[in-house]
Amino acid sequence: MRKRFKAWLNAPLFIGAIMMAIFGLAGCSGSDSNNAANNTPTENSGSNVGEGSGEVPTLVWWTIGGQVPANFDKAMEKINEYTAEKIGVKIDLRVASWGDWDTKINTIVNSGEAFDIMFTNNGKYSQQVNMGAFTDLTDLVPNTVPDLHSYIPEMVWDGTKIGGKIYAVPTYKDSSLTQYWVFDDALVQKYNIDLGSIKTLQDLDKPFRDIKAGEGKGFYPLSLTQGEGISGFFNDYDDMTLGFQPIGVKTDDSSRKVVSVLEQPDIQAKLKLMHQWYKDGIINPDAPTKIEADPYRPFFSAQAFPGAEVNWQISAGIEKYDMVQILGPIYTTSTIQGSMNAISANSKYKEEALKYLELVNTDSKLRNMLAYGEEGVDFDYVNDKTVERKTDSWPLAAYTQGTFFNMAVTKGAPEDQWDQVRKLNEAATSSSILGFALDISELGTEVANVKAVWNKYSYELITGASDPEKRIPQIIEELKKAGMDKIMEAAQEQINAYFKS
Amino acid sequence: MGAKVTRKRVRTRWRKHDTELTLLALPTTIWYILFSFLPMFGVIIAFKDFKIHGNFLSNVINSDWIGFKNFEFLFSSNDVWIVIRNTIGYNMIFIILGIVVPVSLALMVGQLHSRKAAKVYQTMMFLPYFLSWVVVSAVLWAFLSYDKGIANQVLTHFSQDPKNWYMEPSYWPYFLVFMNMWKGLGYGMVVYLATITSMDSTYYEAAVIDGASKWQQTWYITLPLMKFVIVLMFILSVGGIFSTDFGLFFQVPRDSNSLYNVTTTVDVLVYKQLKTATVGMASASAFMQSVLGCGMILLANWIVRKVDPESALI
Repeated sequence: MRKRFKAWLNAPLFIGAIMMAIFGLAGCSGSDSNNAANNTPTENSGSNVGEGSGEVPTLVWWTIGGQVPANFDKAMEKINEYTAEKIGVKIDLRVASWGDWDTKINTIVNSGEAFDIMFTNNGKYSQQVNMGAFTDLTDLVPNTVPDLHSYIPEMVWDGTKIGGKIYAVPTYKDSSLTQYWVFDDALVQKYNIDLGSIKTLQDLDKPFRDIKAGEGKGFYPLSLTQGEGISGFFNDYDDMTLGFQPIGVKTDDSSRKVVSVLEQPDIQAKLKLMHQWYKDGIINPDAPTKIEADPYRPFFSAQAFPGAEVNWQISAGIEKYDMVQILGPIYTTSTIQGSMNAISANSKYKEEALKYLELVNTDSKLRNMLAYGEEGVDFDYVNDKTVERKTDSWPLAAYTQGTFFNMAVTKGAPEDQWDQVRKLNEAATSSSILGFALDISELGTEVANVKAVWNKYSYELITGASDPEKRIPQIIEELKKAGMDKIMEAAQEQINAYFKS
Repeated sequence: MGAKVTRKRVRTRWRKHDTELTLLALPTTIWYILFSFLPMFGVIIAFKDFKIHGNFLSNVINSDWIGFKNFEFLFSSNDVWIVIRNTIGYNMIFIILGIVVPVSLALMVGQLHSRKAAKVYQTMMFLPYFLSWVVVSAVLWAFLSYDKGIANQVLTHFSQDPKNWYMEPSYWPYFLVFMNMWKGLGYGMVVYLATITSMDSTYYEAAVIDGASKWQQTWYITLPLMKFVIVLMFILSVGGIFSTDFGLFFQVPRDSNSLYNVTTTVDVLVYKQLKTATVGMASASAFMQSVLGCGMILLANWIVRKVDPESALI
C-alpha cells in the first residue's frame, strides 16, 4: 500500500499540482487588488473609438443607478444621435448599481481602467484626487466652457476645490443641505402630533411614546439601519470632507475650532436619548445589524427639498407623508461635494468631456432624456416643463448628472419645485469653514486607523444600542491611540492657514 | 534498484499516456500562471505610495517607494492582535475538527454494508457545501433574528427573555465553528472515503481470518493506510492558517459591532481596509497573510518530516 502512495508521490504531475496549490495560495491572497487589472485590456477600447479623424468620439461615463432596462440601449442611441449632431460627442454610459458603486469605482480608479467621466461624491472625491485620478479643471473650465462656468455660482465651484484647484464639475441642484423629518400622516392624525412644535430630538420623545403605546409591542416608531442611524445626526458639525463624523467644526462657530464631536454635550445628550429609546423599544432592536431600510417607515429623517415626498409616498405605498424642516438650508463643503462629475486624468478627450457636461447642464432636452429615459416609452411631455413618467424602470439617478434647474418636473410635484429649491439655495447660510477641505496626504495612516475604530463602534452607537456613557470614553481612548489628536492638530493648522490668506 | 530502472524508462520515452495527462493538466496550469503567478508582481504595491499615472502597470511602476509605511498602519492598529488571534484560533479549531470529524464519519460510513445508504448519507452531508454563505446567513438570520427568529420564539414560549443574538459575543465562537463544520463536512469526507474504498480488501480478509474485530481492523489497517492522506490534508490546511473563509466571518455575523472581537479575521480586515484605507495598505495586509501562510506550510512540513519523514511533502 505504501508503495502505491509512493508511486503517486513520484508522479511529476502530482507534485506539480501540489506545488501549484501551495504557491497558488500565496499568490492569490497576495494580490487581491490586481486581479481586476487583468480584465482591463478588454475595457480599454472605450476611449479609442474616435481616434480616426472625422469620427465622433465616444466617452465612457461611469455613473450610479439601478437595474438597466431593456430599452436602455435604444434610449442611449437617441441621446447619442442628439449630442453627436449638437457637439460631436457620444457617450458610452456605464451604470454601477447602488450596492456595487463603492467597490466598483474603487477598483476602476485603482486599476487604472480607462474612463472619461466619473460620478463621484464627498466620500470618495478627496481620496481620488489625492491619488491623482482626476484632471485639474481650474483653467479649463473658464476657457473651454464659459457658459457652464457662469451658470454655476462661484460658491459652488469653490466647494469642489482641493488645494485651491477644481477637479470636478459639481451638479448644481439642492447643493445646500436642508434636513427634514418625515412623518406618516395617518399616525400624525391618529395621535394628534403637533408638527409645528417639533424642533429638536427631545420633541420627538412624546409622539414616539404615544405611537408605541398605541400601536403595540411589535411596532417601532423609529426604524433605523446600521449604516445611517438617524440621517443627519451629526449635521451641526462640518466634517471638512473627511467623511469621519467624530471630528468636526461646529457650522456656526466663528472661531473655527476643530473639536472631538462625540465629546460635545449636545451630541452626548442626543445619544443618551437614543439609547433610552432603544431600551424602551421605540427603536427596532435589530437596528445595529439591519442593512436595508424597510420601504415603509413611520418616521424618518432625510436630506430633501419641497416635493420630495411624492416619490417616498409611492415607494412606501401610503397616502401622505408630512415633512418638517429641521435644519438648514446650509452650505458646507461636503454638501456641495455630495454629487460631482470628474474627468479622468488619463482621458484623451478632456475638453470634449467638459463640453458634454456643459451641455447636460444647459440643454433641457438632453437633461430630460438622461433623467427620464426614452420619450414615449419611459415618459411623455405634459408640457414643456412637466413630464409624466410611464415606467419606474429608468435606472439613472438624476441628481448625479447635472443641474435640476433645467430639468422638467415630474407630474404630481409642485410645478415651481425647482424654483423652491433655488430659493432654498439662495437662503442658505454658510458653514464657518465653507470652501475648506482637509488635505489628508500626510495623514494616511492615522485617517485609516481612526476610520477603522469608528467602524467598529458606530453602528451600535448611532442606533442607540450601546450606552454612550460607557462607550464614548472607550471610543475616544481608542481613537486617541489611533492618532485622532494628530489629525485634529493638522486640521486646525490647515484651517488657520486657509482662512488667514 | 528496480525502481530506478523504471523511472529512467518513463523519462526517456514520451507516451500517449503522457500527452493525455499533460493535456489534462494544461487548463489548470494556465489558470495558475494567469491568476496566481502573474499577479504576484503586484505585491510591490504593498511597498508603494499608490498613485494614478496612466494604466495600471504604469501606476505600479511610477508610484514612489515608501518602504514599510503601509505595514505601519496594520501594526499601529489597536486590533491587529485580536484579529490575528481570531484568525489562528479559529483555524486551529477548524483544522483539528476538520480532520477528526470527517475521518471518523468516513470510517463509519465506510463500515456500512448498504452502499446505497452510504451514498445517501454522504450526499446529504455534502449538500450544505453548495450553499453560498449569503444564503446561509439569511437562514441563520431566520433562526436568530430578535423579533422574528425561531430561537427567540422558543425562548419566549418557555417564558425566558428573548436574546439579541447578534449582540452576544459569547455564543458566536460556537456558532461559527458549528456553521463551518456543517458546511464543510461532506466536502472534507470525500477524500477520506475515496481512500477507504480504494483499499485492498485482502488486508481485511487476512485480518478477519486472524480473528480481528472491527475496532482492531480500523485501528491497525484502515487508519495506518489513511495516514498519508491525513497528513497531506493537514499540511495543506496549515498553509491556509492565516486566511479564513470570508463569507463565514463577514456575511454570517452581519458585520455586527458587538461581535467585532470574536469575528474579525485578517480577510475581513483586508476587506474593510479596501473600503476605508488605501490599496497599498490593503495589499500590505494581504501580503503579510501570504508570507505567514507560506512560512506555516514550511514549518508544518518540517515538523512532519521530523516525526515521520515518509509523510512529508517537500
